[in-house]
Amino acid sequence: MNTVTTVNGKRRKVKRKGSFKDNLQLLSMALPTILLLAVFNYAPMFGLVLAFKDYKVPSGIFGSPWAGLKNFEFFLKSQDAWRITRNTLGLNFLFIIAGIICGVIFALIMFEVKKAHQVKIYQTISILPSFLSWVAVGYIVYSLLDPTKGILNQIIKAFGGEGISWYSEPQYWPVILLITKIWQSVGLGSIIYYAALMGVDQELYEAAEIDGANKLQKTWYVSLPQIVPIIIIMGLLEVGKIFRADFGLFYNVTRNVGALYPTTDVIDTYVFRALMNQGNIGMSSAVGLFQSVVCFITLMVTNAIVSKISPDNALF
Amino acid sequence: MKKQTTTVSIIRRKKEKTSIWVHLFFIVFAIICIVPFVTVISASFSNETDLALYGFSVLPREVDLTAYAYLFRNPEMIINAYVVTIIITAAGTFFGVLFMAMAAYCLARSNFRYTKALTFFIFFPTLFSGGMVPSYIINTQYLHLTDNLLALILPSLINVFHVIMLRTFFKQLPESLFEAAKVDGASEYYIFAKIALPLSKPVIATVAFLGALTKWNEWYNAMLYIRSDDLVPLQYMLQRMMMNIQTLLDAMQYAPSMVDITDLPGENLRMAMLVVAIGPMMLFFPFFQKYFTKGMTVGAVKG
Repeated sequence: MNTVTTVNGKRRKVKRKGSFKDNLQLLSMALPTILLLAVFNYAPMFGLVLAFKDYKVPSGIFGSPWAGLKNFEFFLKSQDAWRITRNTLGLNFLFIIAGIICGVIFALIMFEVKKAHQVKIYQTISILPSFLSWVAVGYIVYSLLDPTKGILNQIIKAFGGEGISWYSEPQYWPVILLITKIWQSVGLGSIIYYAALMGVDQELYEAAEIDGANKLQKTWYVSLPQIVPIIIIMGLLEVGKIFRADFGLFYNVTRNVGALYPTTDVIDTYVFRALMNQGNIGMSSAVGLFQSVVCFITLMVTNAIVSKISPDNALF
Repeated sequence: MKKQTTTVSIIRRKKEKTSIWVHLFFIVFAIICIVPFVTVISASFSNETDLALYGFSVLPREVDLTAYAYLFRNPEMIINAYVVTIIITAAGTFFGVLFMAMAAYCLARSNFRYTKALTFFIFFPTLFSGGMVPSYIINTQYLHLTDNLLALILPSLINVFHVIMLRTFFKQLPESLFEAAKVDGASEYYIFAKIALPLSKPVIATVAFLGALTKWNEWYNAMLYIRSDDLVPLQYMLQRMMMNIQTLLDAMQYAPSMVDITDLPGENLRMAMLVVAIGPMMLFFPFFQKYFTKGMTVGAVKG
């Protein structure tokens, strides 16, 4: 009797979702990933209570006394709150818009290259900068902008102008960072649009041609409308991450020069300095919590919009 | 039929003449991409006095090997950084791909019961993260990862998007293969290792390459967790040098008094260091480009 039920039970399970043994084996295969995520991703989430604590090393995260909202107050009362939020949002917004425009234009021009091997050569070269770490990009920007030896000042002087000490003039940096970011990412960023263009039905172009459309008209009336959905989706996905700054860019390319903070200090670099230089754990984790929560909300909102437009492209 | 051939011929004609402007655009862009590299290389082969007098240039005024001579007279530091970088890249890529592929396989199998829960568990960290400070406290105070190479390997081992990429690929494999193996009594481990993995070489290669690249370019965790000079990876060494050239000279144990001050390398040494650090990578790069493009397009598609 007993055996029959187990056999029956087993058979039912096999039909539905696999045996206990299979599932145990499968689960054991996922175990390293689960453990790593638990330790390095989930544990820090709980560590966010630090934002409400007065952290003392010997008492640990949970043993430290509560600080209420003191950490937040300290941050909000400082002048930095507005500055770093503005810089993060403003610069990221600039990067998103310019990144999309340049990426799409780049892809459209790439689409005009008809020979496959030429496409490959151009792509290889344009992706080259994406292979570099931000540290290496920092060196390259330095070779251009160093006030005495940099190439840019040499050019300015050759035309009779006066050299600019770039690393102490914050007003130029939004543009410098924008150009650097585009230079580094446009080749790679355009690939997604190029792939979308490759997927456009060839007949549309033939039809346009029969109607006497020239190259520019074909681009404007056929290519572009065809890739608008992917443009919108990529844009929304980027906007979802707008509260997270690319730490490497802002830290290495500016060489962490204090004079540039007014326009280049973002939430991520600010948190880093508050933690490493001032050892202000309470305040830095308060800012971190603020960032995580806002970031989570924007992601949820943008993803909700994306899943309305195109469920296939939604993150979840 | 006739109409069709004319259309084709029109297209063919168009195909033959990719506009000169298009080529011009890419040639200019290529120059913009490549000139900075040439400048860096040129600076590394320049004399420090020339650099101080005339600044960086696309071609060196006079080829001078002082910077490289300095580097290779005391190569321990570079060799050490290379060894560290190779260890973290190799270990990080191997275990990363293995663990991610195993988890992805688990998610892709139709007989797995907890797909939904596990997918959520794996995906949630991309939406919400504890951020730098709690991670730092946990890694230093609880896990004691300061000055431990594991700090450069473990935290970045799992990339959620790569797990999803792998899962999507595994899902496309014909279910009948797995079922046939099951009927023959194969375990899930066996099916994974002998059937799923060998059939997934393209996606494995893509994920491995993307993973290796991030690990090779690792400096962030090194900056947070590495204090000892012996454990510094290449990119972090470069970063420290960018912030302070003295770091490098000290590390190479040159007493400035022993050398003629004007001849003391500075910028050229910095740039030579950069060339030595990224040069080999740049040579390998064109061979792996296709994985990069593939990762870009596949990665954007949800499974």
